Amino acid sequence: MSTALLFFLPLLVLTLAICHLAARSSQSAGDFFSAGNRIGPWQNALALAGDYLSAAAFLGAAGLYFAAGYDSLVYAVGTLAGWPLLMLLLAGKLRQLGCFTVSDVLAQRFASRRLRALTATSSLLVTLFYLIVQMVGAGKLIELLFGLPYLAAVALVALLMVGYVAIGGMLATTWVQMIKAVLLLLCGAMLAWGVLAQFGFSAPALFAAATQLRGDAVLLPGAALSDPVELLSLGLGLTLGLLGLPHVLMRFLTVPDARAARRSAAIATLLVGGFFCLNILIGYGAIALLPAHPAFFDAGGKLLGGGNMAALHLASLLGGAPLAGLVAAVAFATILAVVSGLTLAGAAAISHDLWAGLQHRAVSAAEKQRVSRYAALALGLLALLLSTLFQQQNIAFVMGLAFAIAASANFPVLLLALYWRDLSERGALACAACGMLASSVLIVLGPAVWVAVLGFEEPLFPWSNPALFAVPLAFAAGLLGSQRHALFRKVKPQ
Amino acid sequence: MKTLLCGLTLLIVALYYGVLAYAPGLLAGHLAGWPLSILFALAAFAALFAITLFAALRRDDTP
Repeated sequence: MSTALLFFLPLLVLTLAICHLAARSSQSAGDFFSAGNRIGPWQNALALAGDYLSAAAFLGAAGLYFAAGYDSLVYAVGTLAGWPLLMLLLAGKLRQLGCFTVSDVLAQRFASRRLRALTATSSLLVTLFYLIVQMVGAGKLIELLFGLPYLAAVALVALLMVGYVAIGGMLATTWVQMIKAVLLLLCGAMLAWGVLAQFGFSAPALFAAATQLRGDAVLLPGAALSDPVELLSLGLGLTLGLLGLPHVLMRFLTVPDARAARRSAAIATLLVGGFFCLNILIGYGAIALLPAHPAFFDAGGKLLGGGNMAALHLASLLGGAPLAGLVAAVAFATILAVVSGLTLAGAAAISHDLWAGLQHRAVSAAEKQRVSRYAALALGLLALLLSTLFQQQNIAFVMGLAFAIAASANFPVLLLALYWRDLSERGALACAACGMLASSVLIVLGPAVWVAVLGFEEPLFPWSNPALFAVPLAFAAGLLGSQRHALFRKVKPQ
Repeated sequence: MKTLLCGLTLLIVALYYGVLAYAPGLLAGHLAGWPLSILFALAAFAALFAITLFAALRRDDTP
């Protein structure tokens, strides 16, 4: 049995046991969707950090450092900046209103089925993109570790994630997230410590070694971010994207009150930021240390298993098979936990917003729960299919696209609904539709899909990140739609 | 206060990405052995932590 399996199997058994226990203590639909509102702030903070520190934040970030140096840190600053905004603007407010999804917030103001369907669709779209990121990471990891074909590897992940969600619900995903967040932070600290130990615990020496190998360019944004518009668009998408991620937003309903929601967001900010600091050392450690070891590269000079496996090779170099096994097992647990949270968010959007929200009859909690389980299965299959299309993309980059859709489709309508009295139903519809359409269409027409996935020579939209255009467009549509509505109301005869 | 803190957060983001986009040359150098670009990102992290801690430690009477 390989060392990776020695760590991997107990962790898998542990998470399945947790899932079983959670299923036994989840009695109602409230328990299934929001863990009975009895999660404490520290526990929720760990689960939030766990939800956020996904395959992209660990494997993808280290891979991006290795491939493009400073670009990875550019992603980290943008994503971290979303956390204080989440705490200040949304955490307490969502808990206060008792809202589980973006559609719930809008349903409190407008009794519109169209709006509910639209916001549920945009939440599903974000969830799907995010799921692709996790599935690609998991597929590559298992392919490398156990020699399974990519398709079989992602099928295994899909099977496990559907199992976690269908059986354990929110309580199971929260517990799995908490354990995984602690393990991930410990793993990150061990890797960072190992890297620093190689350079006499001197960070400047580490950066000097990386510069010696790759030149000063490794400390500045690379060619992919040399265009100011691309860079600003990426920053905006990453910062505001967090505030539109369905699987993060729904966590605030698991705590008892708004104060606990705000506290959990604050603690999560510090945990996520701390991990990003460790990532700097891990990433530059990979740049400085890996090239001297040809065993980690194939005949073409590329990293074995693809760029996303840089952290795993670094672990192997620093701590041999035991550390590599531990890191692989934790990375896999990370992916499983995040995909479970995502699947739950997607299943909730389908059962809670689409199925229950669009029926002309009362839908029982048991029926919602049943639909959720089928929805989890359908999402698993769809994510499996899409992850084969995106398997060659860097996962941190694809995550950037998911953030851009969340920032454009979910965040503007959510902010306007919570803070702008004059938002009308027409304005909310325009805002959500414009944000979703603009971000999706621009992503498809941009180089990330038009060239890299569809194989055309030139993109129709020159930038990969659409947030700089789609977010203002969504806000403008919301404002104009509402003003137009107000104008018609004024001229209507009394 | 909430508006001010949100504004400060957005200002930090705008400053960070603005410098990277329009004056990346400013970050090409070292200070006490540390690359300026890394220090700049760490300063942004520190400012975001400070805002979070300030908001979290304020007396919170809102239910």
